[in-house]
Amino acid sequence: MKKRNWYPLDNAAKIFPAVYSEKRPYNFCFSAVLSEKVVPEKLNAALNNILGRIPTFKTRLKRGVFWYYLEENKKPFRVEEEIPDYLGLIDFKANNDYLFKVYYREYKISLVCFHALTDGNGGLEVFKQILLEYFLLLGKKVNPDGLIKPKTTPDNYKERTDNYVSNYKKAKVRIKSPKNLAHSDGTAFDYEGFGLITATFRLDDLKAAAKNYGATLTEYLAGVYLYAFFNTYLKGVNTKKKNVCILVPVDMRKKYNSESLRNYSLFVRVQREYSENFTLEQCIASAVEQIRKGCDEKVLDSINHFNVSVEKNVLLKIVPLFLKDIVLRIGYYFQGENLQSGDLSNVGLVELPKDLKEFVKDVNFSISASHTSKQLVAAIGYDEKINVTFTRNFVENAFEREFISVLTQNGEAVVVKSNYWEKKL
Amino acid sequence: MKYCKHCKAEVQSSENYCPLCYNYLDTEGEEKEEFVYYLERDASRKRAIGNNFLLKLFLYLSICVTVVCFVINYFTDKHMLWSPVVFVSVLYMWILIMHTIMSSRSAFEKIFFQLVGIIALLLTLERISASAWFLSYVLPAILIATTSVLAMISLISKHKKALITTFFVFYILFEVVSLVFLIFLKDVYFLLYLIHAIYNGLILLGTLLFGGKIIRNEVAKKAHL
Repeated sequence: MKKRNWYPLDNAAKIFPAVYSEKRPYNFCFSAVLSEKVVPEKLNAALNNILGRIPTFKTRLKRGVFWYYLEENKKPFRVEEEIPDYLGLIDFKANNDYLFKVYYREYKISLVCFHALTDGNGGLEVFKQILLEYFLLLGKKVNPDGLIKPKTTPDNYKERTDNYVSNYKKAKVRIKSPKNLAHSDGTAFDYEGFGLITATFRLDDLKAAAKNYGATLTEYLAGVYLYAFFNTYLKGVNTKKKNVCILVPVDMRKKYNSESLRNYSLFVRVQREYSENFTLEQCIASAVEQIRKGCDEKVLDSINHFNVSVEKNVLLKIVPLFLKDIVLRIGYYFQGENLQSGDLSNVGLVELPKDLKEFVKDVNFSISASHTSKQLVAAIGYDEKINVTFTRNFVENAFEREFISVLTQNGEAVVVKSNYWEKKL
Repeated sequence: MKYCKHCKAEVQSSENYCPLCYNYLDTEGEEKEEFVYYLERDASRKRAIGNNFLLKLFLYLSICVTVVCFVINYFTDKHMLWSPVVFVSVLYMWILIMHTIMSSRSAFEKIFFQLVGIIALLLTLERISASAWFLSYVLPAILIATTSVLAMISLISKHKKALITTFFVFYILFEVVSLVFLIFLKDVYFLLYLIHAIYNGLILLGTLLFGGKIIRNEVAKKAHL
């Protein structure tokens, strides 16, 4: 494959430059708490070292005639001290045009990525490479154990490939759009930022609880999401909008043996209509059934087929970008975000080399909310623990309370952290 | 670590109340100083939101000036319509300040809107003058001047690689304009258009010969489907 200094956006990324704003920044963040204080100069050097082998990250967003694209960014990258609202909109211009940020504070390093660059699993790979290079620069002896690619690995075209297009197959399974969707809501913050609450559980406790219901961890969390949503927003409320639909991303890399560091995930919809006398068992059973059906190769291929065929549509292709922006915004409103009550994203267990584990005490994952998708849950496992982070853009935290109380009902231990965003100053 | 007996949860926080139920937390034993994972909101730290008072003031003044000129023009000399010149001048000033100087738009857009603004201003001036001079003399002069400025920039600018494709598109547009005037409009003074067509054509050819590869790459990048 010919190496060039620009990349068309991948199929999933194409929508984000058209629709991102202060109210929906489409960022996600990986953070690590280290055993020793961060040395910013070394972190900065580590970043600039590894950017050479991740060309799609060493880019800036540009407007073309028909589509946005990523162009090589020759400016140096600068790490910054953490700010409270780190999940907020990235000011690309102030960030030397880079589409991601790296923050540091005392023992913590965070990578905040704009979704047009990559998805959660792609971001996690890059985050691990940053950590590895940082500790190597500090002079620590860290063997990557084949789990992380060091900066000496030449960059691979497979990491830059848009796998949505390369794995495009014709498949048609009709997926119904949900109707009468309920949305979470509350008193909006009258300032920017998101309310974040992280609940840390023992991984084995949650796995055992999930096993009791015959579910995987993601299925279990999706079921709990439905149950907590019903209890918080629909129980005792007289409304026609009783359908709850959450989106659960599926990492396609494992299915297609992909090494892509760009977006390569699709969504499974988990939906259930509220009815009185609902139980947790029913909600989890619903999630199990729908996630398993949704992960079927034919279903995922048909979703990919639909998404890529929109991009391949000749009429849409030749529309100039300024008109396309408007079309995509309207399309996304009706066919995208508005067809979901929330998101549950579980990136799974983070595997770090043994040497690196010594220095990394905790890893966390969080996603920014938007004015239509106001309640999101992100989960990540690391070192026998699982961190479940809730993001909201309103004051009330009844959903989080409900969700955590369900997870702790069997006596599972939990540690809670919050940014107390609702606090009056 | 602090503990909330209502939520049955340990709470890692510098606050003394639970983030879930807002009840006071129990503190067992001696408090250890631990790393606070989340930074709390800082009221003094706000995102920079520009104070657009000056912008509003200038907008208001622009509207006032235009309206007052229209009124004066209407009640003093209806046959000599000079107030549209004021209106177009104000509009051009806004394009110059907000679009060309202050914005971070592409060179293509800036040049395009500058040309449109200047042409609109001169056309309005022509309407209040007694003779028709714009199409015969001023437009080809503008084309020659713009071609020269663009050619000069592409020779001396540090960013010539980035600008050359934009300029190339303008050379093509200018060539089309000159040729249309030469072929189809017989009642304009043709010599200046002929000079421009030859001059611009040579620069177009030179750009294509020396920057062909850059232009091909830029077109593939900017106009990819």
